[in-house]
Amino acid sequence: MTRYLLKRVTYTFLILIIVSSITFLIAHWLPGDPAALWVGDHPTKEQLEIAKKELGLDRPIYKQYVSFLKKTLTLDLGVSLRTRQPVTAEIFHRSAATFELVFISMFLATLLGLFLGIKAALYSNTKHDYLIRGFAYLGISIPVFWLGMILQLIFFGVLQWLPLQGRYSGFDLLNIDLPYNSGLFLLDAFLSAEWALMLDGIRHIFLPALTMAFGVLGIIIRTSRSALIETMSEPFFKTYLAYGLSPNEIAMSSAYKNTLIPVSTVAGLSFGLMLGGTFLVESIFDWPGLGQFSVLSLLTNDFPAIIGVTLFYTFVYILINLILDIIYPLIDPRIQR
Amino acid sequence: MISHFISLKKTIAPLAVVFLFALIVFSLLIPFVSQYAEDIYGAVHFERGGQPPSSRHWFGTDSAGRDMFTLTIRAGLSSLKVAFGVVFLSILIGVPIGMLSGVSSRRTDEIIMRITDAFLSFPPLILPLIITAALGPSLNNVIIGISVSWFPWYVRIARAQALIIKNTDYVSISKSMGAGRFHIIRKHIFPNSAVPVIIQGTLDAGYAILAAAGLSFIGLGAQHPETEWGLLLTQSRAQFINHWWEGFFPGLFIVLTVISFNIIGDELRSYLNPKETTPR
Repeated sequence: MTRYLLKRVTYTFLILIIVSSITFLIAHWLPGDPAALWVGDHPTKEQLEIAKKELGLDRPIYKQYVSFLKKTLTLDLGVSLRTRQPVTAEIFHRSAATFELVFISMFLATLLGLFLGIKAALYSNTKHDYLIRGFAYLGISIPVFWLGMILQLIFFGVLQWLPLQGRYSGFDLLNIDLPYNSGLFLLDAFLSAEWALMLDGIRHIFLPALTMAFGVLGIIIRTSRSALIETMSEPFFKTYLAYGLSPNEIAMSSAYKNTLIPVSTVAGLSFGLMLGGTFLVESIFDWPGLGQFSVLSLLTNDFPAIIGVTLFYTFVYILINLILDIIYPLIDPRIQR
Repeated sequence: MISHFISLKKTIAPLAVVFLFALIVFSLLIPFVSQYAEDIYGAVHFERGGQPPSSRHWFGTDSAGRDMFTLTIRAGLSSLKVAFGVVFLSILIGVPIGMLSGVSSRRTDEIIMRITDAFLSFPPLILPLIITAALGPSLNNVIIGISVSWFPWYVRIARAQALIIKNTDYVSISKSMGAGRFHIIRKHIFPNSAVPVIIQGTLDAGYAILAAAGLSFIGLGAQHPETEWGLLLTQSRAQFINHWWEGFFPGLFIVLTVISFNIIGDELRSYLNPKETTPR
């Protein structure tokens, strides 16, 4: 187990270095002059020269690359050209909003997906099954940003039940000092027993979380359905049936466990899909997280921020999949390493 | 009940083909048949802006008075271009690398696979985003951006096929008769990789359209006065709550097109490859 772990971690580290190199190369290709962006409008030649020196752009590319790798290892990602703040700090204080959104969506999607997938398998080839599968098909074919817009139209425009966008209502709320301040708004409000604030937060997160969850729901439904159908043909399942248990009872007591491995594998992939989805969903719902920050950075060619965000997203994605790999043997004792 | 579902599938797959075919034909013809053809090239008529769907404007008009039906149908051309472009380019990059990797020595194979793995370690959509930003926003760059992040899937498929075919008896015989590596790739591995690659390509076409629409929606894809569904959706955002038709129809067409590609892909898979039924 330790040998496996060690191998897996070394491998992850290697991948991270290749990934940073790819990112560095692409970012150096960005059009536009970073020095000009740093100086601002109507720069003079001298100002540009000084800015180039300050940013280290006058050095040969391999030297820039080596110092980039060194700095990245010490978590120094440079200064954002757009906001003039250290990129690491920007990522740090914006990631809480994104993680709150992603984890709630992931939770919703996994729970609902497992439930619907198992239902579809138990009632396979009945009307319920077709309905659920049609729903799953729609889930993988619908653009998340369009779904977000439609949900806004229905719940804000027509029914007026939920707010259009943002993380909480009004800016005055920002001035309230919560005794707990982790950046995870819902958790903070809960710990501080600010129920009105928490309700407000839930009303705001509901639509974006639903939108993100829908994007991966289809994949989870399809995976859990086919995994359970496969399990249902196994001898142990038939034995239980012969003992007189109903498929429902067998699924709920034991057979569902066989769906957990494939579902957690696609959950890892779905997590990546969601991270990509944050770019779109956060833009629509004006969610103050990393996705929105990334889009603004991309549109203004803010290359230190783009490199930083890309590395951060990729790192988180790789880490999640590493963790899943490590916990597989815990979910399924048949896997021995 | 099962037969009922099969018959439903049988009617749906041809429908999907007809839909895609009609979309190609009409998106090509619409500049010549629509009386609002000049809207495609960016004409504005503020006097007829913001009209709901009617017999004159089937999908309504946007705030600049452009006919949404004409624009939505024409935008299909951009999305189909992306779908074919991405699949073609990914196959063009991925399949040769994969086949070569499969027949190479273990060390070369290992190096090639580790590098392609690195491309797959980026969360989906992130690599296309930064590549498109790096090359400058345009539809062609979107095609390049998405392809660069997707070719590794084709490397894997082609390599897997190469590994299987490499160890068959007829290839050993061919080798013993003096066939070189490239002869084996050309004569044995390439023809055998075609089926899984085509299936994957059809399924990927739909996802390529989704990804491209997302990039255009952010502002990194198609640019005005080009028409593309993701771009039409962005343009509708300011008015969408009051004028639902501006964003509803382009989105609906994305969904219909992606579903069509998925249905055809699934159908192809079960037809060409009845043993394998689970999706990737």
